[in-house]
Amino acid sequence: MAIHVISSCSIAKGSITVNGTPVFFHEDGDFSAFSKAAFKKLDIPYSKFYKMDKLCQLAFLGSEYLLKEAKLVFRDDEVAQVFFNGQSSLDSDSKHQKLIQEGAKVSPAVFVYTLPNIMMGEIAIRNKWYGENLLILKPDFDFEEWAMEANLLISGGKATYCLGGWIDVFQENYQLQLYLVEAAGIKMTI
Amino acid sequence: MTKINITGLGIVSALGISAKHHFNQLISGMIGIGHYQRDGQYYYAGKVPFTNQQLSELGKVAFSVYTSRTALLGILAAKEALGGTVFDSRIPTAFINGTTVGGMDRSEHYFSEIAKGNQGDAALFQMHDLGANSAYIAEQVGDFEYVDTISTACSSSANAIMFGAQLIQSGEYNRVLVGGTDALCNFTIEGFKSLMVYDAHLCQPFDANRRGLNLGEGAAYLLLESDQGVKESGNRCLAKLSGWANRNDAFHSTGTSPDGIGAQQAMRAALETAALRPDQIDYINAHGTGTQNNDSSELAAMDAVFKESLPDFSSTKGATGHTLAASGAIEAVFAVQSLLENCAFGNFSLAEPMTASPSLLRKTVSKEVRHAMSNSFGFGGNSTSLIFSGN
Repeated sequence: MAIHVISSCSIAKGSITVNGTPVFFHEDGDFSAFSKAAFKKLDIPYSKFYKMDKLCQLAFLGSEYLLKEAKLVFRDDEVAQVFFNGQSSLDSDSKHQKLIQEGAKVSPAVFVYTLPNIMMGEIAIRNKWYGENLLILKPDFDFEEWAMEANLLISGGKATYCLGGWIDVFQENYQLQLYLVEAAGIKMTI
Repeated sequence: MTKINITGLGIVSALGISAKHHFNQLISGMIGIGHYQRDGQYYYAGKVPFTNQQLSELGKVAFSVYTSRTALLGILAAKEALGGTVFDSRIPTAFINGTTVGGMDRSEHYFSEIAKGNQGDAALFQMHDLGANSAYIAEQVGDFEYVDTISTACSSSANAIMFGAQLIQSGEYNRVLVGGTDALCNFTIEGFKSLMVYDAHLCQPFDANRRGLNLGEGAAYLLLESDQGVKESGNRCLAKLSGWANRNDAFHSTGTSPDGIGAQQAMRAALETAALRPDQIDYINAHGTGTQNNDSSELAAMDAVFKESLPDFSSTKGATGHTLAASGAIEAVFAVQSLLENCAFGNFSLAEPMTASPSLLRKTVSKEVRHAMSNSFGFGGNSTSLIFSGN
């Protein structure tokens, strides 16, 4: 494989691990309690976070924790995003459907998130990245398959770096395996 | 390197069925959007004037309550685009479908039964997934070696077209059917209403007093073939797909940046792919949804890219409504027709144009069109620009 993993971050069951080291753990509580606590620890002024749905919050937290450690500076179009995802925006879709069903006031704040690719848009907005986005629905995650997509974008000259991996959320089940990769053989200049 | 030859067109929308009929409707200024009744209210929407039963008969498929409207619309348009094309093992064919609504109409049928206290039929969910719709269309219209679905909201089918072009250019396939389909459903109508961008009246894209969009439904497909594919199939080349690009606006989940940065980048990159200068574009079929935000940022982006050589442009969404995932392909068909018929289509329902520029067309004009651009922008900042060129 012609790519090299610069950094990784995984989130599941209340814990965040960056490059194999646990950096945050929130015992008990649901996703909402976990994500708020994890966000507070980042100590960044970005109140938009509280408006996001679970999928976006998970992607946002992962990218912030990972990028904080990676300490790299990117040009605005050199990072591509590629994600594999299992259940799309089903968590928000079902909330929106429920509001229609109950004859309740339908919320724009929910409808916005009934598309899974919005999650990559949130990362792009936060980092001012104009690069390529790709989201593929898959039943499960295979790193080698993902690495092939990332490699294709990098070797095709569309990006220098690729951020992405596996993200999946439905109700209280959430998983993120995030990677930042570049072409193998490039010497880091840190 | 092979050219991306367009050898078939198929379309269905509120304006009717078939590419030729759409051209006639557009040049005579027909508006397909009308009153759409639901739950004791009415509003403006571009509804295809046929029931699912009628669509099944027109598409020559067996009617079933489990078949989504999205798929039925898709079958009609796909069959027209394929025409008499014979599926042959010497030319393996791929099908790339854009959709964002999928089988939501069937899922809603399930929920409405539950709400009435009836037992729900879970089999109604079998076409809920987007991919199930692509698979069903593929099965009904041809013998495809590869089928894939693209869902990037309102730019879905433009991205399907772009992906098809890349499959041909890379030599993976000599023939790809590309486009998209979406049916009207409560999920999207309620959603756009909640965002306060659903116009309660007839929508007026690029008008100073525009209030928002009207949703529509429909499907459109283009048959793309490599030079080798054309040689084998004997199909006539109608036009070429010469440029394509996709960029992210990186500004807001549902709104575009004031200067349309993503749109600018997509248009510039598409021009670069086509090796064309901005002043060589003769007509732009804009995304032009009729929302305050889209139309002002799209106009700003076009101004930035084309400067003093802004070509004739218009939005045809005032006639079809915004057909979401299908809109990129529907408007790609219109762009190809502008090349074939040498005309630039007029905008619909303009009372007070938002720009003094004569480039915003009030009416269809006859002129030589060698290169036409079509823009599609989706939620999440997804911005795509395509360029079509005459033979």
